[in-house]
Amino acid sequence: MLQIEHLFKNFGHQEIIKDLSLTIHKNEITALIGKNGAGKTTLIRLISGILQPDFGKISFPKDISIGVHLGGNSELYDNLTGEESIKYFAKLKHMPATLIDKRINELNDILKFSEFFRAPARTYSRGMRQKITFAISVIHDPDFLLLDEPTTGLDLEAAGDVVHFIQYLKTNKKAIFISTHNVYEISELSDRIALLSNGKIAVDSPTSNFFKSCAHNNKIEFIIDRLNGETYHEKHRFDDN
Amino acid sequence: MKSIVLTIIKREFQEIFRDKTCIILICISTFIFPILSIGLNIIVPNKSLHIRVAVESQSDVCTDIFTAIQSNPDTQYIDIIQSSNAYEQLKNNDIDCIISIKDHVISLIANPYSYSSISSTAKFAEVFENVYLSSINHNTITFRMTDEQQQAINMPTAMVTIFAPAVFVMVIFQGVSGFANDMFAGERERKTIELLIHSTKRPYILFGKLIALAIISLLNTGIALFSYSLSCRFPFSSPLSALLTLVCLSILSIAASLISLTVSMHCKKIRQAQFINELFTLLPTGMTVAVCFEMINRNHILVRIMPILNLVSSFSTVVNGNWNISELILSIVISIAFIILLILYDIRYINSEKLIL
Repeated sequence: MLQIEHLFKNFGHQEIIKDLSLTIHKNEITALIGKNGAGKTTLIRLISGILQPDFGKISFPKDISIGVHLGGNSELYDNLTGEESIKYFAKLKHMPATLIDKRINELNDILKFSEFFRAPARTYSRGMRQKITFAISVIHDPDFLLLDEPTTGLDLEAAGDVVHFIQYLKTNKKAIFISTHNVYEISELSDRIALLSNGKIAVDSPTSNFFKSCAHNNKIEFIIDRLNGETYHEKHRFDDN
Repeated sequence: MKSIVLTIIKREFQEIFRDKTCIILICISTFIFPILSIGLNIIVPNKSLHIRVAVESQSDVCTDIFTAIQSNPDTQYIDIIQSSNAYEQLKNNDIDCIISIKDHVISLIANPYSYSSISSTAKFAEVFENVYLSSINHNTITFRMTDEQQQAINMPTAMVTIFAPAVFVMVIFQGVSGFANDMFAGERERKTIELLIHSTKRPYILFGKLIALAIISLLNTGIALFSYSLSCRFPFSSPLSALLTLVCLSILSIAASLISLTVSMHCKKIRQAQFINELFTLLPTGMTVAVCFEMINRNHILVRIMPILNLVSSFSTVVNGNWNISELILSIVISIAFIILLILYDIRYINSEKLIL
């Protein structure tokens, strides 16, 4: 579905992405993990086209539609209602009005935002905002969805709703690339794990294989070890056959 | 492209009209000229009128005027006498003014060497024409005011006209900057800009926001111009002057929208944009005041070629009715060229990563 080849991105003299190559497959959830400042958000912005690479290539099939959710980084227009915001972005994506209403109803069944989405966004809690920004990201029913730390800063209930929504997308055979620190999301939702370290993909492996290497099944410790360890040398251990 | 730009314009309007700033802006544009006019009426010396008047002639008209003034209950402040040696009395400062009639023309004559005589006669002229002369029935008589008397009546209007270009520049720049700050700096601060540029082509965002801001600015300018015309009782020398004023102000509004939007685009925070846009309001307003009060030579080559300033300079000549067509065309051409160059620069900027970082 998505092929990234020899990607480079610098901000000034700081090298964020260095010769990164990765393939994201159809109908799979790929979890992108890495330390804070590893370049996860930059990679998502590069894939979504918000940023341009200094060098390298990102290739998609021509007819594919992409949705992007920038998690805690993204806010709403305070003077607009959630409904107006969703419709605004849907219209920018050339959706006809009838389809927009149908799609809002579909999304409301899962995200349950109808109680508040006619109120101005300035009255929303963080979880409410997150639901509306999710709806904006997927209103056009994208084939490929980029999620940047979707549950960061949410309480348990709101995070649960988001996870439930990602599971719904998974059943609809969407390709999802999710940047996260949440171990539950990594282990239970993702089909693949890509570990970003020093600007490169240090590990790219099916989730089951990744955790098989965990001696005592302590996933958190295992992931921390991998993030801090010499992951380059361990890459071959996780390759799927 | 059209539908996307329209969608963006519509959203910007939703945001603008739900903002309290919009109501404040409309109020400022509507009331600034009436307030200025009233304020100048108060500030300009306006002591209560007390005048000693002599009627020179014994003619029927003069007798009627004498009777009309004497019998009016509001004339406690007018000491009126009929005098055969009025000029002698005026010379000795025994009276302030003579009502003189010659060849069916009435005029008020003040002592040319006494400021108080000139000033009180000028004020009396308006009352004389509107109250006393209209109360007597002599159709063959015409009243002729001197230039000083005419100017004294229109003094506040004349002063508003002098201040008008600077006030318009301030209203236009101040009006757009409040909304422009939110359009890009606000989007960057909220990070909604990333959602936006992922959803549509970047130049469409620029055009949508610019058109919305320019429409608001034109509306604001229109209200201010209407208020100005009413406050000063149509101060333009001819309908063409009024039309040219509208053209100058429209171009100025579009230029102000573009400048404010460009500033907003370069700022990551609304406060930063507010600060810079305030400076951009003060700068042209200050320069306009300098040009209008001839602290800077209007004909200096830098004034002639500098965008905004040359347009404001031309605009002030249009208001006064002594405009020069070639100077006006040059100002308009330079301003349009400036607008086009700034749009091209903004397109280049919005397509770069600087908007995100």
